[in-house]
Parts: sequence; structure tokens; C-alpha cells
Amino acid sequence: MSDKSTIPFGPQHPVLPEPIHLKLVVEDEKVVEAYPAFGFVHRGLETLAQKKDFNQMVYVVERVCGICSCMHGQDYCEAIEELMGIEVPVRAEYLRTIWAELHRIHSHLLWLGLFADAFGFENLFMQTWKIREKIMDILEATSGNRVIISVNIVGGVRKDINSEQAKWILKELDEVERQLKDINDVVMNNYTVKQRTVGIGVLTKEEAYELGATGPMAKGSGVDLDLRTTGYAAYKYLDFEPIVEKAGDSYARNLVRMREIFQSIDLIRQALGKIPDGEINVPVKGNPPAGEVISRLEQSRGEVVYYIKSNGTKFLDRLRIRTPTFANIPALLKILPGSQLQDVPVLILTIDPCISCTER
Amino acid sequence: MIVNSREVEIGNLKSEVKKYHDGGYRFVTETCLNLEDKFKIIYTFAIGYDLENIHIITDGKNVPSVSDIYSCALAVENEIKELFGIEFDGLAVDFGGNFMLGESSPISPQADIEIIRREKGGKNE
Repeated sequence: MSDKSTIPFGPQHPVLPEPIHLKLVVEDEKVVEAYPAFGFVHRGLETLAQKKDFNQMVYVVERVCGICSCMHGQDYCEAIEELMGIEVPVRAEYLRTIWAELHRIHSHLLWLGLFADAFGFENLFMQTWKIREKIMDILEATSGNRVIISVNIVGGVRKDINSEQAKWILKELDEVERQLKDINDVVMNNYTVKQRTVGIGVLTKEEAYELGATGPMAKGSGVDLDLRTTGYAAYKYLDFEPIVEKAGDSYARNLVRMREIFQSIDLIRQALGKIPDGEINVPVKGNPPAGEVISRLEQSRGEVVYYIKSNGTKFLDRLRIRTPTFANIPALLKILPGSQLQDVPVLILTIDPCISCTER
Repeated sequence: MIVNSREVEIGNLKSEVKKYHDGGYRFVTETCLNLEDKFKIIYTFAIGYDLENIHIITDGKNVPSVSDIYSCALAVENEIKELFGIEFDGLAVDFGGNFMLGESSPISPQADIEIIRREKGGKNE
């Protein structure tokens, strides 16, 4: 005979960078049920679309989340540009791609540091965040800000990268790549890391698809979907293949993110090598016409979906943001039951949750 | 992508959603909009990289939940229930108004009209 107990996990917990609450029903050390509760950082940002004009909303959506900030701004601007029939200069498309990939790198490195911290790998945590600082330095040097870089505007971008900066970025990325290769060899072959992740939290390809999982959560289960394949921004000019692993466990999700960091470095190199001269934005006149648009792009954590309904005035009727972590919550609830209590922090972190995004 | 959404009757909603499910579409999201004294709920599905949308127009009462077809819909349906006050019938897991909002939060803060009333200091009815 076994007894069931209910254990609260969060909202404040040493491994959680942001507040999320889970009610875990456990039988001895085994989790049998998990119920989430959100809302600790719900700010109702979507409703601001009816009070701020469509240009001011760029600043609002950039603040949905610090880590995905640049890509929130990009997706929102691309949606408005589609509504207004604006063609963005090719150089702006490249610049958006470069900054987006820099964000992907620093997001994945942030996750790796937190993940290491979650199972007591303090040295890896420090090394990872030390490397991440180089990316933050690049963001600061090219935009003036480290986190919320505010480069996207409707019609293009507001900042440029000159040739001297491009050479310096390439040099810095060489160093980031060299240091990451050292870490990668250690981390992905580490006995403890494998013990805590291989075969843990398995999500099959069918389950990932059925549950609407996205990003590394889906790609780690063999779902070959990455919106960059559709060629938005400058991806249509670059060589790109989605990174997919098939095992579906925590280790596979980690592997996808590690490989995506190297891929992002390659994409930035390609973009800096091919970026043409030219304007970085076009003037925007008038308001978005009445209409509805859905715009999507691939954030670090997966597919983000922007729905916008405009009414012909400078204020939008409706803005709705479906973030990747929101889409990955059902998959998390699928892999938690059956796991051991000790694995819960690792499983939560393998979806790389962004609660600010989820709650908006 | 400019939204090209097809309207379906509420009575046919589940059979339409089942067709998408059986056709290999994945569930992307539901989006709720205010329409003066009614609501519009858009259901978005994807196959590969292509999206398809259907929508219903409702007064917010007795909307059939599609969470028995796509279990992942329960999260967004709980959110819509709290933010717009829509009553979903047959939600796979009903968080009772405490999924995104707290007990002292405003009632249906994104809705132009109020469907669900909250008892003083208590949970949604």
C-alpha cells in the first residue's frame, strides 16, 4: 500500500529563474500527477495594444521577455509590415537575422548555465555565463543595450553594423566557438549529466506533435519543424537545416540546444559575409489598414505566433501572442508523471521555460 | 500571413476540429476577440508550415471545449475562460479560474462584456 502526498513546487524555488507553481502528487518518490498554476508575472501586455499606437507597441512587445526581446519586436514588426504592404530593405533583413541569432546564442547559454546550476555543476554555470558575456558585449556594442536592444522598428531596423564591427564580431565569435567546443566535449560526455538526462523525461515524436510542442522540445523528439526553413528575414539567403534529435529525452533536448549554438554562429558568419550595402529602413506613413494577420518566427524556445487585428486607426483592435513556452506546457505535464521527484527540476529546465513570455 | 478564416457553426465545431486532428494537423492556438456583445474564437491549426483557421461566433456560454480532441487546448481554453469569461463545456482540466489569474484579480479583464461572475473573495462560479 502506498500513500499519495501533494508537494508544492515553486513559485519560489532555487532552480527556477522565474515563478511557476506546480502541485505535484507523489507516491513515495514517484510523481503521479502534476498541476500548474501561472499568473505570478501576468501583466496584461496584450491589452495595451488598444491604448498605445502601433509604433509604441514595438517597445511593449520587446518587454514581453528580456531573453527573446529582439525576436518579439521582429515578429511584431513583420506582422505590421505585412498588413501595410511594406517591403523591408534587404540589409535590414540581414541585420534582423544577425541580432536574432545573437539572441538565440545568449538564450541557449543562459539556459545551459541555469541547467548546470540545477544539478550542482557550479563550474559549468560560471564558465557558460562567462562565455555569454561576449555575446552581451556584441549586443551592447552594436545596439547600445545588453538585453532589450530595441533595434527593430516598423519598416526595418534603427541601427547598423559597420565593417569594423563586423570584423570584431567575427573575431569574438571565433573565441566563443573555441571555448564552447571545450565545454561541449566535457558536458555532453559527462557521466553525471548523462545519468541525469539520458532516458529521463522521454517525449515521443507522436506525443510531441500531438501536444503541439515546439522548438528544441519538439526537435529533440524528432519533429523536423523550424520556421527558419520558411525563409523569413534573411534565412532565405542562408544555408540552413533544422537540427533534430530523435531520442526525445532530456539529453536530446540539451543536444539540440548545444548544436543550435554552433549553428547560430555559422548563420551569423554567413550573414556577415553576404550582407549587402543599402538602406536599413523605409519610411512608414499612415496607419495599418483594417485587417487580420498572423506572423510567426522561430525563437530560441520555438515558434512564436503573433495575431494582430487592426481597424484602420493607429490603435490595434487585438494583439495576441502565443509564445513557445505556453505551447510546451502540455508536453511538460506529459513527461512529469512517472518521473522521480529528484528529476523534476531537470525536467522543468529541459523545456527552457520562459514564464514572462508565457504570461505576457 | 493574412488571416483567411472560415466560420463554422458552434454545433459543428467539434466535428470540424476532429477533421483537422484526423487529417494530421497540429493544434497551434485559439484566439478570442470581443465583438460588441459577442465573442469570436479563432482556432488555428498547422500542417507542416501551413496554417488554417476556423472561427465561431458565440455569446460566451456553453462553448464546446476541443480539449478532448487536442488535449493541449486545455491551457489556452483555461486562459480564455479567465481573461474573457467564456464558459467551456467539457474542459479536460478546469483550473476553476486560477490558471492565470488569482482570487483577487479583476473578473474577465479582457472581455467587453461579463459572462462569469465571481463570488466576493472567492473563485469563479
